[in-house]
Amino acid sequence: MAVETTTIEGDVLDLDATPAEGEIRIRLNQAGRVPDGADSHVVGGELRVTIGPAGAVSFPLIPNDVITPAGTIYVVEYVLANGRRWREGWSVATAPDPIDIGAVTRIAL
Amino acid sequence: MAIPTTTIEGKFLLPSGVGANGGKITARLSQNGTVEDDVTFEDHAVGGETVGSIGTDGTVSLVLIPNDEITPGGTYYLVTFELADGIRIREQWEVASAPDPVDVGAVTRVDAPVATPAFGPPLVDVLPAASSIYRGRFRTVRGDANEEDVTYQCLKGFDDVYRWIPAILGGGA
Repeated sequence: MAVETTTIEGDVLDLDATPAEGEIRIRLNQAGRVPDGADSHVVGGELRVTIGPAGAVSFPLIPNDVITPAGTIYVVEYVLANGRRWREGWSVATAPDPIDIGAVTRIAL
Repeated sequence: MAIPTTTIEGKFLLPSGVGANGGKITARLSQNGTVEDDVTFEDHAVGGETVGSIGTDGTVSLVLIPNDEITPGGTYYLVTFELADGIRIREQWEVASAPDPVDVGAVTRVDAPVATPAFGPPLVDVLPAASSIYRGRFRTVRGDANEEDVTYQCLKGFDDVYRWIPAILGGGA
């Protein structure tokens, strides 16, 4: 068995529309539990994703709608090589999968 | 000597669904207590700190004296996951004698946060296949032009089949 994941894909652009360089740091706002068949695992910690050539990213995330307790969100921080940083709140759903990074539901932090 | 224990097993996963790359779990009792030996019936003091491991594939390994074998009643464990990248996550657990072993994700949390979502059910165009994964969860299906949105809840029927059932959450126009 494997836990459910949703692939986030697309491009990260800098303000001048050029491809961004850097990484994305992703954490749950609180540790949760995720089913894996009849098993139950803990999910938490931080995922670091390197922004690839041309600003491209593609990475899996456990969707929030399969995590207990309900109502968790991901706190996502973009850390660019040019020093620019910003944060977003994400609620990732099981479907659609994959989903464009720009189409992920944003939640006010 | 036979001190009752419960084995905690399972995995610690990162948000990507991949196992955490190593670390440790530290467990302390909320207060010192005593536990009775199942064979000699002698009472032993129990306290201090127990350290378990998180493997490089996220596998958790920890053995604890269950709280329901500890006197006084009502103790719990203060648990800290410390991942290899330095991130720490703290929880409070009440470990039972059974089941043994128990999945790490199935241990009772006494600090379990109450879900207070600041937003409604996820909006979808098509409902995913109903299954135990969605048991009790809500989804709102977007209505097309001149159609209303409809919220569904995934529930198991008496025939053990999961279905999306329209939820009555409020009145329409």
